[in-house]
Amino acid sequence: MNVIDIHDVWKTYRGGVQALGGISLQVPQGQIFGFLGPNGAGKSTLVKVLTSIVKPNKCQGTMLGMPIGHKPTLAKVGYLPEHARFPEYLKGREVIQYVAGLSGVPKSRARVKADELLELVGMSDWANKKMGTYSKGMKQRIGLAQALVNDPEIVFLDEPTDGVDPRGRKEMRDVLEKMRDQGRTVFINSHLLGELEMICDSVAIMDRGTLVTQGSIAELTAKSQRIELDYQGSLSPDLTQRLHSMGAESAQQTLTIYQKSIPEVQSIIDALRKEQVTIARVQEVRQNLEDFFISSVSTEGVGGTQN
Amino acid sequence: MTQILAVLWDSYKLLTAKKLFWITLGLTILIALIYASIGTYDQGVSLLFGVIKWKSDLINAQASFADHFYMKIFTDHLVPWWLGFFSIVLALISTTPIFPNFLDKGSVDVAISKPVSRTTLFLTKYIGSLLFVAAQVAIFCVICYLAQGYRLAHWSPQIFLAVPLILLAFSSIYCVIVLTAVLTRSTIFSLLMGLVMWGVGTIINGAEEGAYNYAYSPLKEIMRRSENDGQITHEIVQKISTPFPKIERLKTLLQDEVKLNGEKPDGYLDAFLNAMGADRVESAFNIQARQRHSLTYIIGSTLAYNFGVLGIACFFFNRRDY
Repeated sequence: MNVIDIHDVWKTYRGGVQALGGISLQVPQGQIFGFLGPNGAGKSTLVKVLTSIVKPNKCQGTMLGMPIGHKPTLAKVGYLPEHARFPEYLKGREVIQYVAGLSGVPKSRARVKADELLELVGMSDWANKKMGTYSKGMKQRIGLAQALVNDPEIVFLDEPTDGVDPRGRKEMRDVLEKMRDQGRTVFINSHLLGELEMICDSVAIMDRGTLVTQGSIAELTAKSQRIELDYQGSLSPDLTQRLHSMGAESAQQTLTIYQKSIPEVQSIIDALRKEQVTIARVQEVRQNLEDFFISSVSTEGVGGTQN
Repeated sequence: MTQILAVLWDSYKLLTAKKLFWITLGLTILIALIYASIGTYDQGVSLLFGVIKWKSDLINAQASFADHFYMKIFTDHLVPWWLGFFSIVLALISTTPIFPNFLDKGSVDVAISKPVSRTTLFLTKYIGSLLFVAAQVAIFCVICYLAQGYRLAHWSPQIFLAVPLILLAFSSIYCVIVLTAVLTRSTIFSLLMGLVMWGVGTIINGAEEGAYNYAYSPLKEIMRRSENDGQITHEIVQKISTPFPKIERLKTLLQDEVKLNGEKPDGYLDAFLNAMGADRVESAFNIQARQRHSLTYIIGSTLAYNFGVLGIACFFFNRRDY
């Protein structure tokens, strides 16, 4: 079941800047979904459309089974904006309770929930200090806590680990994995591809207001999967021709066999060994998310659209 | 309802976090206490509960209008000047950043992404911002009410009309500030626009008053002017001034509404002015001039202005992307 199922989403800001150009996106329930794209690709705009902060020019589809912009549905949604700013005159606990109130969570429940979440994000000792005294990482922790205060079915996190130290990031990942285990959906916008690769079940890549690709990380990087085989000495013309017919490409004493796994290249290894060729290395190679991302998006700098 | 209470609670926390609120509140209480310390004795007037005394043949414990004099210090001076000017200026300085800060990226997003309509959010935030003035005026009125009860042995609950009147006066300036903030998100520019509109309204309403005085002055005959001289001009200026808020007039409405033992202080003021040698005819005309507009006109046109400006601000708040 898809918790987000949208089609043909368009948004052009005043001044003619097109941020979204007919996006269609499906996000399955109970996944950690990574949303990637260069600066200005339109990632934040799409999240803002889904949370009714930005009004689209056109948008079809649903979130949690209801049309986009349906206010009561937002009671089941959590959101941590990029560069979140919470009232500096409020204490950490008060920020969580304030957002709980805005979400319609009853006061007694909000108090209990605030304590739980402060514990979860490791801010219990700072709960009664004002936001103005917090570091950036501490504010992000409170930001995550407030996004979870209404027990959301979907939580949108825009650059959640911004300013958070490595230990905090690990703790944040643990929280998100716990949410996924509870059947909730986590939608993350981030530039930290290594972070996303560690926890995301699937990702979508945007560039210049359009969706470039979408799928699980394994599916997306499968096309780049290959076996690299280094050998010593030279290959006879006959052997070279045979290897080529078996799908291997040879260059500088390295054979590259695309989209094959180790068991599938045993016949090539057998052919080499039969000709007494020394095999120096056999390695399965697959693009990481960062390489895939770079190869997927335009290399002309920022997307050129308002994010 | 939970959402509305959350926004109001946030406004309360914001209010109490501001040093200027406590400074203004301290000054308000001090001024109210000084008012409470004013009294009369057989030979004149005393201040600071009798510490300072002035001998006066006009105002003393035996004077028939001494009680009205005490009441009029409140209605004619404290309300228009302290509550109606200085505390409004301090409140504007303190509350102007509320909307620009709220509308900052990363701040407004969280509130708007919640299951509460933008209109509710906007109006609740606006009402929450008025708490600054409401709290100051209410506390001031309570002290003055108790002081009048103690000094005059007469309780005048009408003085609490100062709370809605001063709130309406403040709101007439603040709504412009909020509209500018919604359009520009600039604190300085919003404050500037609020002050400019306050000034423009005061000038236009002042011009209308001046035109009225010119057209209907009892001194016309003495000045050998024709009966209709200036009346058309007054009508034109009045039409121009109608849409503007009657801020200055709101501040003096209490002078007509507060009564002492069932009588308006003005009757006694007339006697007081006579005693001081003032012109009775002219003072009567001043009262007539002050009362040339009905309460409905003053309150109605000011409310219409508030609703109009707030409506536009709310429209843009609802419409824009954040």
